[in-house]
Amino acid sequence: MLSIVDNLPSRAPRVPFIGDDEVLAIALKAGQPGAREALYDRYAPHVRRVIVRTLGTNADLQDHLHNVFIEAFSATSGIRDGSKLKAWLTSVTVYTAIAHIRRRVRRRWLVFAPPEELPPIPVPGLDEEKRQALTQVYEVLDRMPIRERMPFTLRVIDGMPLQEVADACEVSLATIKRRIDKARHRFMVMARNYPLLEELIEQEGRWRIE
Amino acid sequence: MSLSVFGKWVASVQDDVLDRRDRHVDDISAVRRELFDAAPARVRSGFRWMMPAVALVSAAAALVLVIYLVDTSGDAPATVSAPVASHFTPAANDWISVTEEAGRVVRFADQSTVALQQGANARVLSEKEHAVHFLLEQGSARVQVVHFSDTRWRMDVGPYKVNVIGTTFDISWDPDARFFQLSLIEGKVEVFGPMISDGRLISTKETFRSWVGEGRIEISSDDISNAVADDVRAVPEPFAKGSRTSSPVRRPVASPEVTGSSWADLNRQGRFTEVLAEAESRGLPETLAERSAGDLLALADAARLLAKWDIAFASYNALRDRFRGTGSAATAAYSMGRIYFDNRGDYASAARWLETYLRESGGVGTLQREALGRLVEACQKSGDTAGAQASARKYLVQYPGGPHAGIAASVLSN
Repeated sequence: MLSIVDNLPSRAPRVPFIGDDEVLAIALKAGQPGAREALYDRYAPHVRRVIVRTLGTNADLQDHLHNVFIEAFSATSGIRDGSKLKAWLTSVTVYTAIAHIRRRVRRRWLVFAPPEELPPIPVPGLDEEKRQALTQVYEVLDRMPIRERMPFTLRVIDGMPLQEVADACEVSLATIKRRIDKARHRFMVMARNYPLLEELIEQEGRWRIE
Repeated sequence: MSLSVFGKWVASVQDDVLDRRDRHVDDISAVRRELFDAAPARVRSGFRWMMPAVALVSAAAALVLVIYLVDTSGDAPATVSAPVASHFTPAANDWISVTEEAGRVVRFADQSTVALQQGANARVLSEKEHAVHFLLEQGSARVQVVHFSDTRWRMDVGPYKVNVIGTTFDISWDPDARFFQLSLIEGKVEVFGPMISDGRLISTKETFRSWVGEGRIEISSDDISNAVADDVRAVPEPFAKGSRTSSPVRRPVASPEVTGSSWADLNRQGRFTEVLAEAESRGLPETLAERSAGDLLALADAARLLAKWDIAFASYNALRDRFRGTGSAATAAYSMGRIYFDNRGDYASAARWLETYLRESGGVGTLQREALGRLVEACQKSGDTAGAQASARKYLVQYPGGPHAGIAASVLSN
């Protein structure tokens, strides 16, 4: 029975999308089949990394990854420069992360609401001290203003170039530099209230604002 | 440590977490499947915490509704409902003979449906995930096939075979009158059969009719009212041409993907910039989404000759996506291989596209010799010795006196 289906005139094999980001941007805007898959295949690992940097490893990565691409697919008309497709997608990721943080903050007053973040992922073999340090870093970040938190995570943790951080946050280079400076200072002050982070500071003795 | 060093340390710990996580959970693949293989994807709810409250409110609303209905049902006037088509899920080899006035709807696991009208006889020849072989022996049906990346639907209707990609259409076959009709509501299908043995792509709003006994076919479009065509080129000898001449507009049926294109005419006159200008003035995305295969090929060629690589690739890709499986799609593959070969020096990509052309053109393409010759060179230049030797052998067998014979021979001798 199945052989009948197998004898169908075969359709052309699905060929991976070929073309640079500018071509892909045009294809996305044109709604070409295959373009969305190509965007996903090309940048899903990058998006996941940005999610981890901005929200931490305890975030529901699949949920966020899914939502970023749904958001991106519905916003392709906003791509202005195809050569900056990656930067555009980064800004969509940042925007989605900001929306998530704001939503989380808004509903803190609802005492019956369970935490949206998942409990820490058990990571076999990961040093417990490292895991705790990660948790504490994001507890500090949770208490920082979003406009400082996002550039801080992209620049200081991810090491993204300043201009890319500015593009992702959709502000000028001068503004992003100011925000990062403020964020660094704030993070330093707040981190001293966390035992493990404080210990790291004391042990190293040179943890300072650059 | 400095803050920057600390940041890098945090990133390295996160990367370590991700690496360890990847050994157990494949986030990227899981989300990919959800986005592209499932039903239309929606934003995952960030409001799962509201579910209990929503459920409570819903339950209360349902209770009120039930009370209301129970309370008022005695007063409600009797309604006469229209016949409702019965739904059922078929098994392979099920015979379906529709006697009900309302017809019957055959629903498949992927939510595709075939709504059979009264009088239809049909059979599900085989079914597996996204791959269905359906026979409509006689009668009419509305078919809605849900598109998935691996959808393979085929319908046998009278003497015609219809390959369905993902679409909605009405189809019918009258064995007594030997009359076949297919009207595309949306999407596209490929039809094979008498007078179109090479296949004919039917697109949205087109209707294909065939009077098989008379050897006559007709393709009309909403865009050209009642446009009719006799496929003079494709009518085989045994079919005498019919005498129906009542239709007001006649046009020859070209092969599905290559139509007379004014842009192709401009290209022939070397007016490539005019082709690009016209496409850009109309809007490139709209052009790529709407124009015919012939126009897309002409646009891509114009862009290629003007070294506008982005437009060329976008056009070739659009052509391949929209007119998959056609000769034009294969030609686009060849042209992309040529760009990678001649203009980008990316011989591995060139080889891949040339192989695609050779595979898709099925050994009968007009560019076979050139493609195979270039493939020998592309494989050689990209360091694919085995590929170069294999294609060289094939080339020398098929074209021993061809322009690449010398290169092929040297590849084999080395």
